[in-house]
Amino acid sequence: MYNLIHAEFYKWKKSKSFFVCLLSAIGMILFVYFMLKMVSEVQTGKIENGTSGIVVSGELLEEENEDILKQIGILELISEIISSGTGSIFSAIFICIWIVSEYSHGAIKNTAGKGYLREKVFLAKYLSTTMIILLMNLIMFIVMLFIGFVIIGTEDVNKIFFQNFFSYVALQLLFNIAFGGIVMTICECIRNMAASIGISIFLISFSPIIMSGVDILFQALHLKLKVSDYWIISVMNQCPTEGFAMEFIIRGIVVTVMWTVLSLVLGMIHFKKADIK
Amino acid sequence: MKKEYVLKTDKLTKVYGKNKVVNEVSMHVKKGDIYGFIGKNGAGKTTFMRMVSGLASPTEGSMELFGEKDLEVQRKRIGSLIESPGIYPNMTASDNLEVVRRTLGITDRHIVEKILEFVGLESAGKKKVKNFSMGMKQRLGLAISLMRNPDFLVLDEPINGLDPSGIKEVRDLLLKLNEERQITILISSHILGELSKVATKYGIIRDGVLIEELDTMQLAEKCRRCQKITVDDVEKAAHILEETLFIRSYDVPDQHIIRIFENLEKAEKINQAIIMGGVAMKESCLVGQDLEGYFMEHLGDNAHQN
Repeated sequence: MYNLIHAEFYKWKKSKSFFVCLLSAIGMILFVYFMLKMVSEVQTGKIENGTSGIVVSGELLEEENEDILKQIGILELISEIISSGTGSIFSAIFICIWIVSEYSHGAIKNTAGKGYLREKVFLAKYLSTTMIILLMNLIMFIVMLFIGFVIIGTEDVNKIFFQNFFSYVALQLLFNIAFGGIVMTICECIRNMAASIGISIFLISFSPIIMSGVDILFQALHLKLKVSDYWIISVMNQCPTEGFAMEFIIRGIVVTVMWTVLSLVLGMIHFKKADIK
Repeated sequence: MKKEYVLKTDKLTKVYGKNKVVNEVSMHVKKGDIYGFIGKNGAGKTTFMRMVSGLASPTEGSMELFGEKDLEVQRKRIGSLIESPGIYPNMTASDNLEVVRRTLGITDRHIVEKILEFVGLESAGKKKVKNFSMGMKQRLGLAISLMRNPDFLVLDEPINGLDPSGIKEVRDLLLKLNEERQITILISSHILGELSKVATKYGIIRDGVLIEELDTMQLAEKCRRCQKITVDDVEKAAHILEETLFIRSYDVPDQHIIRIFENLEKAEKINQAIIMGGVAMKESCLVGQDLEGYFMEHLGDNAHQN
């Protein structure tokens, strides 16, 4: 197992896809901050409405402390970016490239059938990819925090802020383990780059809406079950930035474990049985 | 006796949907053989080799490697190159081999340089694999298969895409590996002429069925030039050959056929003697095939099974 994971990290070091996806995510984050900053500047009259194509409706704000960015705050802004799926999309794209290229290049032939049990090969891939994704997300959070300090300022930054930030990041990283696992299993089962990326983006963008729809349907049928509370992407979006309720933390851990185990088992079974072409 | 065979399959079968791609193949590859696996496109060679290498699981049948049934353990002794080489195009040759070295847990860090030199890629240097020619990629694939110093090599059309000098190099390399390191090789190829220069044994597969296994001596025997006569009484004809014509070099492959291997320039005299001896003769002709002719006869649509 050590050999397999060791080889995975060597490949990661030589691969450009991680850095391309990470830089793309950071670029997107910068873009979001930039857009909001522009909106804020327009609203406070510092720049003319319509500059660079940004048109803001509504009346101008007169007081500087009504700046939209300061109203939202760094943590809430980070939460909005995460809920929009920005980080998740680039994580998913990286996973798809990382996993599916093994099949498209045929390199998986150098691992499977070389005396290792198929389950071990999949598990090594799963563990190493999870660690890489966690690192990617951690870097994104640090970048979001740093840009927030630069653009919004550090007036509201104190001990409680950092406690909330670290708690939020810890929960999101935990949820990303399950999310990454689901994407990995999709990639393993489909083994097609375009389809894997398409399905992953669909899941990130539309599955929370679909789950909410199912909740409404269940409510109409007088069923007490709230499906969205057990879907990992919905839980990622529901994560608060302060006042972390024990109920949410426990539910988050249960949902993470459930989807991690499920994706791992399904992926392992498929990898064991499917032929490698 | 048990460990005489590096590979032994027993009615190995692979079915995809309703298609029986490999149909009850029982193959025997002895230690030290270079086994030439011959068949048309779609005959089942690659699928069979995938099953041997552990890339596909059989639907039915069984397999032994090195006389053992514990295939996952024994597969550590196999190197394989199935269809195209499994390589990362954005890495160099060294990087690709380094990945394999770490995957296989090989501690010798210098093995990468040694193997690259062995396959003639030592000057590939910093060039990324995506810029390699097909021949260079094939050599890299071969290098990957040799990383673990295997006892058994499974090579699916390894000379695909190679120029004549490249083909010769691979041929020499395989012969060297077989002679010096006693590596057993299972190799498939369409280029029968090349295969005949290396193989010590042949297996012919047609529509998923292994129709014949024969070694080089048996093949030479079957391809041997001879006078083939079809008669109604083989015993009487054989008696005439021996007592009247003093011919000893002949065989009787069928109850109506005699093949005579000597005095081929005296075919007319032989025919006369047999007819005058009271044996009805239906046909007499001089036959003999080269290797390609023999295989094409067995691979073609009008082939018949022995």
